[in-house]
Amino acid sequence: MLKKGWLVIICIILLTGCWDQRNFKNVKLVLTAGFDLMEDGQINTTVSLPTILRSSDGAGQERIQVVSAIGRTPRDTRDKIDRKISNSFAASKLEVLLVGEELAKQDLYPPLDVFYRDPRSNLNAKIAVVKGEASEAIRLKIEQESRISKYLGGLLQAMENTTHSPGENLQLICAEMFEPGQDFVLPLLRVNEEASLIEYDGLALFNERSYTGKDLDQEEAVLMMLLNGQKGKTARMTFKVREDGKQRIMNYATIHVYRSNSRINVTTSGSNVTADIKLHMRVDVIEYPKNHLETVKEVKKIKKELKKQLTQKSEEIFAKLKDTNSDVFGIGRRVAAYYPDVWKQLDKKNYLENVTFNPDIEIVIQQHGIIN
Amino acid sequence: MKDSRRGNNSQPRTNTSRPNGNQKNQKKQKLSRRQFFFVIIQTQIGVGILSLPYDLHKAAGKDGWISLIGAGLVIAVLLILIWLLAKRFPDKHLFDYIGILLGKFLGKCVSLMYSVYFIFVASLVLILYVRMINIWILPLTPRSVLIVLMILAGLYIASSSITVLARVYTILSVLLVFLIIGFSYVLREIQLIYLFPIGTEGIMKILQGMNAGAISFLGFVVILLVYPVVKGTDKEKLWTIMTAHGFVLFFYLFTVFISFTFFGSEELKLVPAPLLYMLKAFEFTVVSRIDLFFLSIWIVSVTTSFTSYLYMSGIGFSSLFNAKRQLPALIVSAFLILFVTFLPGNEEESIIKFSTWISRGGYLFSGILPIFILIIAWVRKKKEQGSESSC
Repeated sequence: MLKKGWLVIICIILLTGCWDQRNFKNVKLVLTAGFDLMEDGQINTTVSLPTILRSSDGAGQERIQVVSAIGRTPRDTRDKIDRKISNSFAASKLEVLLVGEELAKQDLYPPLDVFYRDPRSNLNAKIAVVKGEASEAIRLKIEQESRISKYLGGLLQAMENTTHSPGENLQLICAEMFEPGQDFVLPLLRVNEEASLIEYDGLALFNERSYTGKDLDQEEAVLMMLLNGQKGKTARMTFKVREDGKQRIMNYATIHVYRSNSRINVTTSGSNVTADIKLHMRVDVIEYPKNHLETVKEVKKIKKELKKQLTQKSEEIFAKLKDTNSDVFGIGRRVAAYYPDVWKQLDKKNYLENVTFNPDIEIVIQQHGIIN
Repeated sequence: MKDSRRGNNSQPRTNTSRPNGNQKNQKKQKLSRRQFFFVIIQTQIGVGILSLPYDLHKAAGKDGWISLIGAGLVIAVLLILIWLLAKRFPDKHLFDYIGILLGKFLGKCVSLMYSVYFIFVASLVLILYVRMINIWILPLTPRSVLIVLMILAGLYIASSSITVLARVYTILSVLLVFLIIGFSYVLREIQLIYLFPIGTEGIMKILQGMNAGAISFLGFVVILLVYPVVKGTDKEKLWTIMTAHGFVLFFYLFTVFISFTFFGSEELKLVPAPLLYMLKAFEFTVVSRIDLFFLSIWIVSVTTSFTSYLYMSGIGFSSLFNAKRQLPALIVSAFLILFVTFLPGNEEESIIKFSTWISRGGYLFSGILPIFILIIAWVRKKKEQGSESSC
């Protein structure tokens, strides 16, 4: 018994450890950070730090402090920020990372290196590109939202759910950043100063590791995601299906994609690459102001029109991708995987231009709400 | 306390246990085959698992998994040879019959070499473990504290009998299930295309990768020491050995497969501990940073393989000096391990050198020497007398 007692005491002393404790009271958690490129090539980091003020009654109040610093590397700016705040800087709970447009146009890996290298960093943080400067988005005062990180995080999550963005985090883009023949997109945000809001503005197209400066707009984003088989929880699209409506509103129909299935098939002949993208969707018509969807003929007509519109829109997407060589479908990687000899011949900088895309979109309208 | 447990056979339903086997063997308790299985896998799966995909990829590129299968097949053949050796002496372990086969002096020499080898492997396990912990979670904790704690834990487990060791390993194997479940979570983000094109890295690279693969299987030497205390016929034991090997191969393949398809060929070059690293990308509703949880589970795997090596070197030393009790030998081993652990220092380069040498030693002690001993046994037609009647 005595022996066991000793064991317990030894365990208690040894197991607690005292070298590596990091007390919450000693750190300031950074929940949102933004990087911008200065004109001279330095990095400007802006962070928002929430502090909870303890009040004598009830829950504490939260204050947000926004600090920024300019330095040579992100780590350098971190240290500089550290010198400006009361406690030490901790990025281990980072939720959202914003990258300014100009910085994103450069190689994206170097500013992120510090996150990949530090074991404490949270690679699960969401990442987005901001049109203009990232610091503006973080400095934005929003009355209704207590925290900018919550706002941004919620916004990005909602975009992920509605198939507007692939929901990439720091870790998930990394493989695509390095792998040749495969590129990625990041959600693009825009600061609306007048309304004091941040808006989702489509998807920023990346080529290799840098932002091409071209974007997919919101509707293209949804279709691109569907073509790539990355449907979120819901997906909706509105199309003009007729011209003869009395009012403008009557020309449109909104579809809700219930289930979608996409197949990308890459074939080659010589050095010509053809990508057949087969998208099969089961949709509900959830808004059709013109109404009268009672006859099979009418439904068929809409279906035909939708198919036309979708195909046309996907052609526009492909044109944009070819223009920027942003291979979000990973066509190049597929060529490398299945036709390595062809891949060796291709010009890696501009190969997408010569790829022929054949979209084949099939839709099934299965419901049109509780009225006709 | 021990006596009260003795009757409590941990596997009462084994139908192969000899009649009255349990009562007759009052002196020496036997392991069930299930325990044997877990002793093998827990010794094999250890410190290397986190970096295995990286090592394979470094040697054989994206065809590393082919190398792993190749290595697994080679090891399977080796295991049959080891089984042939072990079954010639159903009541003796390696250090017992080494003297009979090689002569007293040479036998002692080889026993000593084996013990020293086990000590070096145990130190290597400790060094790699401490490095990983230092990088990932405890950057400020002194190395010595982590080392001493691990040695104490190992010593505590190894100081009991082999039965206790086996029971502990069996219980701890539940954690492997958690590992598999956790890694399965990654399956949602993998891209199979990263494995293609298959077989383009060239046969030379794949063969080189087999080296990295084979190293990860070392640890099966434990079979030579534990074999005589396992219940069952030779055939049944062979079956156990093979299923254990199959399990480890499957487990490794699974981890390699998900890390290759998650990271892709280019990023994997940058990530020396891919299995942990990929978990950093995920978050459950309540728990984020699952990599830290997995690190704790991994520590248990490290402890078990460390303990095995400590135990084996303990057996080696006690048989070397014909000691009746094992504890003094274990303590001596523990101190030697502690000493050796500080030899290569902190520098990355010297640690790599140290680990290369020891893995080369693995070929000698797990491959060449057992085969050599087997050949001698064949040539000299040495077999344990009356081996058929004993169990």
